[in-house]
Amino acid sequence: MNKPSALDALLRQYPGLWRGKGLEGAACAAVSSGFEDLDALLPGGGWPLGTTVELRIAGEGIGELRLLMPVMRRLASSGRHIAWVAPPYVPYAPALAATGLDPSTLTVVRPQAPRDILWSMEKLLQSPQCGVVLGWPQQVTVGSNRRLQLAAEAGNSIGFSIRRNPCHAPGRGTTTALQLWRQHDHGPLWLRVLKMRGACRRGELMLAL
Amino acid sequence: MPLTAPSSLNVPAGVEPNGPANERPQPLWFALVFPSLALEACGLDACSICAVTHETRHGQRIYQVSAAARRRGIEVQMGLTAALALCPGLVHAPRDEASEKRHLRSLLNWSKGFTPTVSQAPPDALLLEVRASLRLFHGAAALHQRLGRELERQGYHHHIAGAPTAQASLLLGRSGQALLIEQPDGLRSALGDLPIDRLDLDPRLLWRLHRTGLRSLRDLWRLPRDGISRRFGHGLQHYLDRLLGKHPDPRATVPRPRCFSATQELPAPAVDSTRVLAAVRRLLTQLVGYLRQCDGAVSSLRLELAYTRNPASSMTVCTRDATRDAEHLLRLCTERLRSLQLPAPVEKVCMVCADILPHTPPDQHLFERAHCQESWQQRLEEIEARLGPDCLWQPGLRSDHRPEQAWAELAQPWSAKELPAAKRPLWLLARPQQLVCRQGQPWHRGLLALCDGPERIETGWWDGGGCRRDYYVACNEQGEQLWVFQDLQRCGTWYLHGLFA
Repeated sequence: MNKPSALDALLRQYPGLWRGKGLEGAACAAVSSGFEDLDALLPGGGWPLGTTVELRIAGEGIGELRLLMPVMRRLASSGRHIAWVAPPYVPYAPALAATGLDPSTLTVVRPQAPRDILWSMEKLLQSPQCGVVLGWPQQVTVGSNRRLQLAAEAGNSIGFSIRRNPCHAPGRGTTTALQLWRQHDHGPLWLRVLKMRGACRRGELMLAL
Repeated sequence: MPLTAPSSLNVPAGVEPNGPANERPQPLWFALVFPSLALEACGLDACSICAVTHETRHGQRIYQVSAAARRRGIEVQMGLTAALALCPGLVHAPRDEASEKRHLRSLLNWSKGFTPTVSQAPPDALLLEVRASLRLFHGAAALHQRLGRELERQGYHHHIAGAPTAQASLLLGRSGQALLIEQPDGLRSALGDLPIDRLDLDPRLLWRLHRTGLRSLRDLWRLPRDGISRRFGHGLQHYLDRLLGKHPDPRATVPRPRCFSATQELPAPAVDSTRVLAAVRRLLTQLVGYLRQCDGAVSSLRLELAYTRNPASSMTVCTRDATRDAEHLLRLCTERLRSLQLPAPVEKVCMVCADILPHTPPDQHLFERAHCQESWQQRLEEIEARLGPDCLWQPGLRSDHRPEQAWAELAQPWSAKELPAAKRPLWLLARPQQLVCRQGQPWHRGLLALCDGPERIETGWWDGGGCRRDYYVACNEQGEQLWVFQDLQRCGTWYLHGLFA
């Protein structure tokens, strides 16, 4: 009877410890994604706080913002700020207002140089007042991914790097990578887990967006 | 003829401030007198045998002597040659009035930390009205001790005297009496023993008083009031009245300075910004100390860099709210300096704050939310310092049916009552993108199928920006949901205007 309690203590001490299939997400703080199927797939029952998530999208406008709106709304209503760094288009105020996001919590940053995009994301993620940082970085490296991950851990925030890339291999240095695509027009949004911390699931999911 | 009068006559009836004392607190003046200021300003050690000279009609005369030199027989106003004959090892220097003023000025800035009402009594003294500060510094005696300790640490010889009138405290201090008289009742007897020639009066009048046989102030107290006025003029009576507080003695308070400027020379010309930053850090420490003294804050500061060859450059660091947080200002300066390419080695750094604002500490909330809000603002300032002033914005609404005019970049939040009824995309293209037509259908990475619409928007004819468009929600083969319109004013050309991300 002694052995399991020692294991429990170890698991409590290191929440990032890999637990094998079926045991994941025991003590991981998470925010519900707003989609039941996705919550079931994600460790801890939602987007995990203190991590960065890489979203590989087939093209801009396939539904990546609608996927993330519920988590942004949820964290904004708890008083944390939302920041978008280097969005590719103008975030359209009338549509944002219609989604119910508290507008005073949203700040848009427009850096000029690619280096500044990553720097701004890191600075914002480090701040405990910032809940979600959406970034559209142009080029990422293992080092920059790692830095963003450490910044998210410091600020207990969620960072989403949205990259338009058909490549299926997850970026090195990220803890979670998801792929988003649609198979045909009017079809549902498909989501595939490429990589996930604390879990070895590789699931595919259909979201009605 | 010596003037004698019964002592009962010397107090005019009804002038003693008795009644009003209970209603309004009596002022308490501290005189900080620096008897060796001229020596210290010349960089001489006031404990050694030294003197400061000044130029007079009769050649170089001694202006101030140290105590050790006085013991050797050297007096003020003695000729320099005579003094050197008395004491061949005398170290002497000419008087430096500008340096004395600088020293007095820095002492004044330091004393602003104890009370806001500080006035100068040149050439060697400061007057502090401290009644309102007594509770903070645990009483007059504790404050008296603390001022003495801090002046000793700064290395100034000093006499500190406290009295209910400015003139009396100055007289006591200049006589070398470090007394503390808190109540006006004790003033007459405390001043009584002071010799007449210490009074700050015309030397000829002093000489007349001396010849009359008056040696100390107590002798003057015994004279009848009208007799003094008749015999020595109103000036003396007026002076005595101010000394005892029977006549008001307003002093001009040195006002809060309006700007800060300091320069830091680098030990060697620096080409990397880290060594410039070290100088900036020292300047910021000075700035924050200064702001604390004058209870101010800054919302912008200018840094001027002087190079070895190139002309000097300057940059301005701004904050959203007035602050005196040195760490935050240093972070902002760091970001600005990092983005700067130094064209040549930097020789010195100058910091100028032209606008000192009153310091208003943030309202204290019961919970920690306010603090969070402040540090979020500081984080945004940090980003602004690196990326430029217009890199941050918040989407806002405008009342207009034209989609490209229905949003604005602003800092105020929107009100949700003026939303359009129809579906709007989350992404808007800053400028509508013209689409080609294939097989009679608009094409964007595949043929577009129109799923929803049309929504006719026809407005703006009154300001020259009129439009007449049919908006549709369209989908292509890759699953992108697009917001497209057909411009009816331009022969039905198709445009892409937004993406339903």
